[in-house]
Amino acid sequence: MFRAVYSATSKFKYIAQTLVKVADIIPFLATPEGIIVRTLSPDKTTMISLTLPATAFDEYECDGEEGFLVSSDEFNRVVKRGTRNDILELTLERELKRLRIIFRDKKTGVIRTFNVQLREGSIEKLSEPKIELSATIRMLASDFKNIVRDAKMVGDEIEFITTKDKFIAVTETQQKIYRCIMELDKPLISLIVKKDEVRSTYSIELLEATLKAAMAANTLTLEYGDNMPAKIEFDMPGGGILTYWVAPRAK
Amino acid sequence: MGVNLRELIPESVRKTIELPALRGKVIAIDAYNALYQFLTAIRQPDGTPLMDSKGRITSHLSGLFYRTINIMEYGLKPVYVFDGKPPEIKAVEIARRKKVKEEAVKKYEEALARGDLEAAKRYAQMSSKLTEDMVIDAKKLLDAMGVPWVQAKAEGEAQAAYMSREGDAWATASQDYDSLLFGAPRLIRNLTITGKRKLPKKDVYIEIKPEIIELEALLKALGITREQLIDIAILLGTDYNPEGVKGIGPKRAMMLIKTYGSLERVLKILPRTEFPIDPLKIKEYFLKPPVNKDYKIEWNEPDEKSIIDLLCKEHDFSETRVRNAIERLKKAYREHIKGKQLGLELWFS
Repeated sequence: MFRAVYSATSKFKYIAQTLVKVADIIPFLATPEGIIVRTLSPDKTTMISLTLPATAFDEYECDGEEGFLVSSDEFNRVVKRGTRNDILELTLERELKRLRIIFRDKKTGVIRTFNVQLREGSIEKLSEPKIELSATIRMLASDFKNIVRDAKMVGDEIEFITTKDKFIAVTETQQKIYRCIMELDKPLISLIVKKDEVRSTYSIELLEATLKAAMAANTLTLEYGDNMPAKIEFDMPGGGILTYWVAPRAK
Repeated sequence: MGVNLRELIPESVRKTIELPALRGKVIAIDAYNALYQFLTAIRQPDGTPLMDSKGRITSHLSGLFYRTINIMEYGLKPVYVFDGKPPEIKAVEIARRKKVKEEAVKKYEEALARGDLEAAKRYAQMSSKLTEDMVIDAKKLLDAMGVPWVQAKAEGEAQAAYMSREGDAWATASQDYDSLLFGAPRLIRNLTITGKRKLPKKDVYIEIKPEIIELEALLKALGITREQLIDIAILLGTDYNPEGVKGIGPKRAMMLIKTYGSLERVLKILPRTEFPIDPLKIKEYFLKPPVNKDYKIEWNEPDEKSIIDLLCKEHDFSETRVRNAIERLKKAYREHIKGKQLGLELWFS
């Protein structure tokens, strides 16, 4: 059995909106310790790993390991109906092959119930890439959001360059250029780099998928290496972590 | 037309795939098959194909242009393979197709005269004819789009299969199954017709997704060799013996070949069976078709002016729509061909 109550409904909406951008099906794995969702986009360019520990929920019940699949689009459309006044409740009704989603309005007491059909199939247990990344930058999620949105005005890809004291994001096309330079405390929260310079280029379209996650988090940690994947970690309310992996573009 | 192996292929071997899963893969597309699909599908309600102001058919160009861009946006790298001179052993099938088309033209006109639009559309689709001018324009369009094409010596599917076996393409794409007989390691069906499609004679739409059939998996599932698959196909009917053997369906053909081992032996127990040509010649053709080994596969930057000249100035396509599509094509080229998007699979050990 699995049941979880989450009061930060408006934040959960952003999680669902991020998941829908990566995969058509969300593989939920509920354990007594919490919920894990780990899925690779069909084209294998991005991966999402969401961990919400049991303590991140207001109420959490799960006897053993419960894996279930739902359509990300259906799940997102229902979760989107929640408001900041709602408390979200997820209940797995395995025998009825559905996930029940209840919104309870804290002010008016109105209860709204939706059912999302479970999809057939089993959960593929994926692990995240185990690689050493040379640059680690921590910044406000809103700053990252601005970088991606600015860069999109100029081109399709963005190069991240990290030196000992700077993080630079560059997008360049024939007639246009966008460059954003950030330094430690101006406004970076932290910057750790293991080499003199680390460079890698990513698709802005793929990074855009993280913008919804950025709405749910205050800060994020960006890790990447020379021509290697970027790992973007968002701290979720109540202690969860949403990790987004994006493969680089070869130059 | 091609051989119909549909009933023979177990569901477990026929795997539905999503287009994004083919990102970065070179796909050798049977050009004639794709162009016929476009000619058949892209029509007005009464069956009239799209035409320019001079009355020249443009359905094939519309399909080729928009569909190619669509698959390139998913990161696929298409290379079109055009048929060369049809082999002599195909003469009977070519004559049969010509007759079917002529009859379809008559029936189309009759249906149109009595106001039966649905029947008219059906017969118009059956009468679709790909002319030399259409093929020339299709090649010109591909050149302008920067999409490579290869001229086969004879059968396009044999050429596509050869390119796949050589590792120059990851898979072949066609609605027909012949490339499997020619030895293609993978065949993708429905690539050029993916999406919502209306069922004929019904007001019902279905979602068509690409499916992939792996030759190795098919042979393993059926417990036969490629030569035996060819033998079965010959009993069922191929482009070179369209009628097959009367009274022999997929199950019986399979049973006969599995029991006797080869077509040569099966023919001994079916002495009165008639073939338009020596069936062993057909087998030999599938095993050793003539192919063009001197080809180059290279994607280039789309040439906007040439596309506009061909589609808009020559064939009256809407310039706004074409320019929007060119922007999508340029983006796909930049993202998937020039600056290659890598996949995370490279970092999973």
